[in-house]
Amino acid sequence: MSKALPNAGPSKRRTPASQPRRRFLNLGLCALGLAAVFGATQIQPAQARVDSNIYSTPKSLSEFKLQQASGAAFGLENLKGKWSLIVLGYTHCPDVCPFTLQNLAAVEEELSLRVSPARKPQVVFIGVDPDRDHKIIGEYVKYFSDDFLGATGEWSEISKAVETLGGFVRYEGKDKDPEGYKVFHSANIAIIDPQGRRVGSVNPPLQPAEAADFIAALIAKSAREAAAKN
Amino acid sequence: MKIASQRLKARIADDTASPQWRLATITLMVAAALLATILAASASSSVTVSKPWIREAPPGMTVHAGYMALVNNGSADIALTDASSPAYEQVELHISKVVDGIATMQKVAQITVPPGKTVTFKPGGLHLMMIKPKSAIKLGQKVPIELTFSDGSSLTIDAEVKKGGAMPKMDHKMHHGPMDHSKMHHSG
Repeated sequence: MSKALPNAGPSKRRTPASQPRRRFLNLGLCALGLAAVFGATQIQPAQARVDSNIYSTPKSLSEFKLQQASGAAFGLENLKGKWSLIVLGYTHCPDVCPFTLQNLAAVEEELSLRVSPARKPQVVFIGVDPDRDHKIIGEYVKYFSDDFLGATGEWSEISKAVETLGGFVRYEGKDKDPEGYKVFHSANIAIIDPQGRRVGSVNPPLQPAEAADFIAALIAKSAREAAAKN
Repeated sequence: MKIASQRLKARIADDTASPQWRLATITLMVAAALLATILAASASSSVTVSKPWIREAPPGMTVHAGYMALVNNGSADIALTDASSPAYEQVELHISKVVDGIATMQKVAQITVPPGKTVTFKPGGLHLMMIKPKSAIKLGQKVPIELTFSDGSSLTIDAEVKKGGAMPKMDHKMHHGPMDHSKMHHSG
């Protein structure tokens, strides 16, 4: 007991002095934490639910030459003057692509409630598997929405498009199974502004209303910034 | 006495041949058969399947996706090891995953359902990959799928062909299963 006391002494003395300070510190931290939580939810109500990327500097796209189902060309000039949402995929993808396109059709409907027709993005599906996509891409995209645009082309041009979109494509087992091979591809949906620049992306699975809120906010912000410059 | 016993035998013989007796025998046999079926069914699989459906595919697609929920009512792990359908050349178990932003799809050898648990096959995740339909698959059609499990049991389910819906809103109770998606689609 007598040996323990000298040790216990100093700590006891320290405690009364430091406790109020700690309490203040704790309260302060709590307040900061709460402020951070509330702040975040208040500033970004929609973004909180949308898995997305926004680039601090928009990335200009370089040229690629694809074809639409109608035979018309599809390249950089088709992305100028309007907003676009571009998704990579392949028509023989049974699960992810139809799910994403169905969600995008819903996003498109939601967007029409939020932005003017002139600002409503066109939805572009780039078929990255031309051997199997070429014949059916038109019918394929129309199944999801009459407004969707499907484009594919020569592999060399597809790879240019994929690269400038910051995407990725890899064929899985095409040599072993020339009919049933899989294609691994970027899952995200690139958001392209009317200057043909990649401004960000949203990542599936998409909640249509939340994704539409996010995209509409991005379009509105871009319009405000453009107005401020002029 | 002899005569009496013979008459008795004759009456018994007559009784067995009577319509009532036949009916009773048939009823018993049917009941036994039913009981045997029920017992066999309950012994063969502890798994129940709910809400099986196949996504209606856009024109020209030769691979379709099927979804369902597997419920293990038993007390041990059970795995789905194989699936087949008379309507398709081949059915495989697959899982879609987004890995580092890349949509990938892998064949899975088996899918284990722990006791008391449910494993849900849904868009963007586990699915039955239905390869090469033998004839056109139409909206509303019921496609039989035979599921084989690790204990040797099997189940045949009827999966309805439906339009897949969009992701439902995360509020309310709409994010439970694949059927909710299609319900959303039809009502909306």
